Amino acid sequence: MARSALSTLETSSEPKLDMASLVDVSFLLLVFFLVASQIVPQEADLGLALPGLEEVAGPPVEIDQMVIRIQEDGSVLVNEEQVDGPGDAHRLPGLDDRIRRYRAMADMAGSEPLVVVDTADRVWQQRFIDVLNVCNRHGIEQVSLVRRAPAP
Amino acid sequence: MAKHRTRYVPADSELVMDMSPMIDMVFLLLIFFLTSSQMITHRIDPTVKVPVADTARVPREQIGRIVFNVRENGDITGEWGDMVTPDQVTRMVARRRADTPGLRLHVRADRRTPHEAVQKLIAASAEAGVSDVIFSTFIRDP
Repeated sequence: MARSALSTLETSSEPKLDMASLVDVSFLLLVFFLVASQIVPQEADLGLALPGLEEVAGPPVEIDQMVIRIQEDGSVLVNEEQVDGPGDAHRLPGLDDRIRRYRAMADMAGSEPLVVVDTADRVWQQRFIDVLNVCNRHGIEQVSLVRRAPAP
Repeated sequence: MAKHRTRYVPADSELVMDMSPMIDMVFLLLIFFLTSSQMITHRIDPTVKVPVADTARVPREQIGRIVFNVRENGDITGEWGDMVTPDQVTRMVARRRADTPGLRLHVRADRRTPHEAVQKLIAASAEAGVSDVIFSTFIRDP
């Protein structure tokens, strides 16, 4: 009797997986991600290796180096010659051309390009980053910054 | 024989809802969030709107950094939003540098902050011996 009942169970019933707990966990995870995640624009890195900060009382000395000066109004000068005017253009075409040529000359001479950036105190950080961006585009990461000595 | 295999639903039986499409959808959403979300490894100051630089690169990892924010008005804050002076920056960087060799300064400066404030921060860090600087930027203006 018992034997026949066992054989009936084996043949008629199929093993079933209970999906309820799996669905519970999935919903919990889904709700967690929906609540916890926040769409934030991803930030990227613009690296800069500083050989040092030059503290000067006057204008920096030009010894076979490119001196980039960013003036209060956002205009950009290379070795005292204006290459880009004030404005919102991030690409700085004049500076880009000058750095490209300077980089090519440095490569031909087999020397490391040396760029010094002298930024006026009130210049917006965006303008400074624009200049670094152009340097980075041409593979120049060694940039010196000029720090003006505080007025006595 | 054929009579035994025929399945029919009696009039008084309960209807069963098919859960498979819902589970499929839940799993799809779950996988989407798992793959697209990124864990933030450092706290950011939401008031700081960083500049745009198209040559910047998204880092693979963000370890070995000390983060400082520079707000639009030039205030420098630490990772936890506490205001710090340049002298405090020097001390904090020196302390972290003792624990973390190859430490880098991570500057999250607002795009409209005067450069003077950023320069003070960099100088303070350089005094503690950390002159490797990373600027946070957006690759495109969001």
